[in-house]
Amino acid sequence: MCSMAQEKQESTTRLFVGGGWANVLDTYLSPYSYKGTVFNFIVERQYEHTMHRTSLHMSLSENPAGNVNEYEFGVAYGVAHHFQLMKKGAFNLKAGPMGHLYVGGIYNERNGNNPGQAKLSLMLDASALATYDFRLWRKDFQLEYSIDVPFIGLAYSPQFGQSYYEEFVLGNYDHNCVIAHPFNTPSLRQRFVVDFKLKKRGCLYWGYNGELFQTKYNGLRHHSYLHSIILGIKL
Amino acid sequence: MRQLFRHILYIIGLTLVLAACVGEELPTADTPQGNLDALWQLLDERYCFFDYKKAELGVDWNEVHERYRKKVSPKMTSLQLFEVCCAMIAELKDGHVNLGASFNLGRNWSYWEDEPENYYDSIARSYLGHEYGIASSLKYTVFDDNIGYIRCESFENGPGNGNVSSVLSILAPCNGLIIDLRNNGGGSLTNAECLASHFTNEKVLVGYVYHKTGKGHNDFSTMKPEYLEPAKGTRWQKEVVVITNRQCFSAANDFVKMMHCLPHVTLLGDRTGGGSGMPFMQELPCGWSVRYSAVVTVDHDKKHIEFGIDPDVKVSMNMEDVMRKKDTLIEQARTILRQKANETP
Repeated sequence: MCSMAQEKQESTTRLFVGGGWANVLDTYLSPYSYKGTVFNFIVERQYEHTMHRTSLHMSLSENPAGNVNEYEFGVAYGVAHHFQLMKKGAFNLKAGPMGHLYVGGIYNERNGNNPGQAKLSLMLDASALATYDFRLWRKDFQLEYSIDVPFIGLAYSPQFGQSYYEEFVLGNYDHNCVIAHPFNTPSLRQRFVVDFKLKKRGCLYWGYNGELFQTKYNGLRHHSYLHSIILGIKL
Repeated sequence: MRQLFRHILYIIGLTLVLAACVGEELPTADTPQGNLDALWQLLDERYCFFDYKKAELGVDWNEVHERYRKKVSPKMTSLQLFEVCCAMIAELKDGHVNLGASFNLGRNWSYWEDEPENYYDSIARSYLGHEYGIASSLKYTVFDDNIGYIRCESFENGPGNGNVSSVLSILAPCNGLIIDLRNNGGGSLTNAECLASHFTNEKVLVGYVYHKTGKGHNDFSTMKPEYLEPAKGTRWQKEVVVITNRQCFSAANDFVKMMHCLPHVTLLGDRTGGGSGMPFMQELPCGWSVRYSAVVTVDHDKKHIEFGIDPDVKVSMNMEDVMRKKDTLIEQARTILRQKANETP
């Protein structure tokens, strides 16, 4: 088995790349969902109880009429502390808090005074990680499922009809720092991967990464549904 | 163990249910009815001048919806639907409300199309001659009575602080300055503010700004004051006449709003075209873009300038002057500046 650090201070670093489907709505830019493609890049360092994750995604999507493109990007850094909740045979469950910083933006290529939407949030998430080891065809495999659910934090949002000119040229702020909680930020990130040994030390990971990120701040609605097939290696 | 799995599944299931609740709110059907309803609702929730337009023009937006719904049929063509939608938004008489399709731009330009132009391009160009200077969007020259003349046709691309400082330094020996703003349809507010900032030595209250905070017609933020700060470069200290006509719109209207607050500035010509709402863009299910006024700016007395700003000196083009290739407005501005220069001790 090679996906998880087994001893104290020992760490495992994994790199994932992926691609899939994006569905992006931001009512500051358009009342309609844009659909397209997303690319992911995730680096994760796992200690026995601590996990550091840096992820980047870029999506290109188009409106329902197919005549306007929207570009979304986001960089996230999270650090989680997982407590051992259960270890029963081949099944292992850990959970704990996760600090999560997200910086990103969406650009609509047609809009004039509202061409983009900046995204910034600092959240405390509930994070869990479950693994299950098994043998198949005389080889060791591991199933891994992880989920992070934003719990509480602070996020940036323009006001319903506020322009960036007012905010950043005139300095007129209006509830632009929002308290985020599960009722206005019902979101989750989840990942399901299977890992299997390649050689003595090499490991290959294959699975699904889903980011269902949603907000309702200042009367503006946003969602990014990003579903990706990911492939990873142990570094 | 089974109980734990069940709890985990509950949490995932609950989150997935929550994850399905932030969706689209406007009609999504790409049908004539769906597009008209989406256009009406989009403006109903986001347009910022409904109360003002009701008071000034008697626009009842619900009545407008009922009237135009009857003009839509399921089998009408895109061109026919576009015509109906354009007629509906034209009820608002707002140059910032547009419908954009690949084949046409829906607009209401009655604020200048139905009014005297007060500008003849060939005559105005003859005042610049051939030896005029160009600094970004500014063209400038000095008339033979030592009056400086700046033609500013647009705020789309400049001018920047360096351009304005350089031009004003060159024109500094002049006895007065004309800023000819006619036919300036706007552009960037930052550029307009940049030019205006060279005509004040102190921070001046020039207006107020506010925006919508919700879908109700009266859901507005508090008014925030807007100040004009003096520029760091060359600042003009003598008399200025700003020439306006009905085509001074949007950022040009805002420039006039700012200049109107300054002591050595005279507005001359016709009422400006207005357009005091900063426009945002959204779209319809069929992909047509919708531009609409979203942010309100008012003058320093908190009065609307959506329908324009009146000049201090109302002057129209005289047809006899036109026949003699003379620009009545420029000539009147020169007269005022010469008189004021002579009055100055």
